[in-house]
Amino acid sequence: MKNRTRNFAILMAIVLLAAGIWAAVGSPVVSQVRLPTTSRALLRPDADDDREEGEGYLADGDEDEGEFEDDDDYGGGGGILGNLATLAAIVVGALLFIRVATHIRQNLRRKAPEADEAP
Amino acid sequence: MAAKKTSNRTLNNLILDTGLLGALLIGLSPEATGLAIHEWLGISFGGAISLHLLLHWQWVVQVTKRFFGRLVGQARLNYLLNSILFMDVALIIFSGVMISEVAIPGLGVGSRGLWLDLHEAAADASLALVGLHLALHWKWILNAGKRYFVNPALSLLSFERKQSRQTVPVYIERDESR
Repeated sequence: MKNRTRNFAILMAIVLLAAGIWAAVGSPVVSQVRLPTTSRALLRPDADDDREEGEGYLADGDEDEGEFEDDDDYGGGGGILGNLATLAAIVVGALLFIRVATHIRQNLRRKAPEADEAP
Repeated sequence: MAAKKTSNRTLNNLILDTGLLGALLIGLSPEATGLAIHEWLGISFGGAISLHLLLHWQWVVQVTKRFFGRLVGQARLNYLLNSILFMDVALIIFSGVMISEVAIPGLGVGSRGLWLDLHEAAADASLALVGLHLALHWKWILNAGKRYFVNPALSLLSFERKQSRQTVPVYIERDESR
């Protein structure tokens, strides 16, 4: 039973890790979701934004304050829903991790007295 | 009386935290809102975060005092995560003020590109940190949300259903001519 739990936890960790790598590198679904600017630069060097140094959200000489020249001028963002989806994914991942960690910890605690009893 | 005070505090916290979460999600999408809303929302967010911190000030003081002493592991983890989150939000707001183009223009000092890079990196990190913050407080969120949002909505629905089933008295006039 305990071995089965441990195996389940290891399997879950591997699946989560694989899902995380897949989501970051090339999932067509998750590519719509907000990907951190730094991760995007590392994982997809071709997707670098073409912002010049010193250039902000607005292109130079743009008179319409508060308007974006082009979506590409700003490096990141998958919109509000994209942010929400990313946040939900992080929360679910963290909750799963906490659950598995608690499970392992409880099993280790249960296992400890047995080890003491052994001759 | 004390229970009512706690209940009010929970409701206040829930409303403020829901607002903060909504503001964060909207604030992280400047391409959707436009720069003016993004900047003013960011400045208001700073004020709301200060209020959030003040509402939990007692917890901060207690955990700071006992951090190296006897303390539950989860509280220590919470404290560390919250400290990082606080520094991250402070960095977002400060760098945001430095690169402001609409709300506080002309305050920027030093390299604008550097502030912008810092602002973006801190904003990306904030999403992950807030996700972890929510996960660590998930039980409280579920309980408070159920108590103040879900249950009232359900009771409202059932009240309407009961009302629609209510029997209406019908008067039948006796035909006297018979």
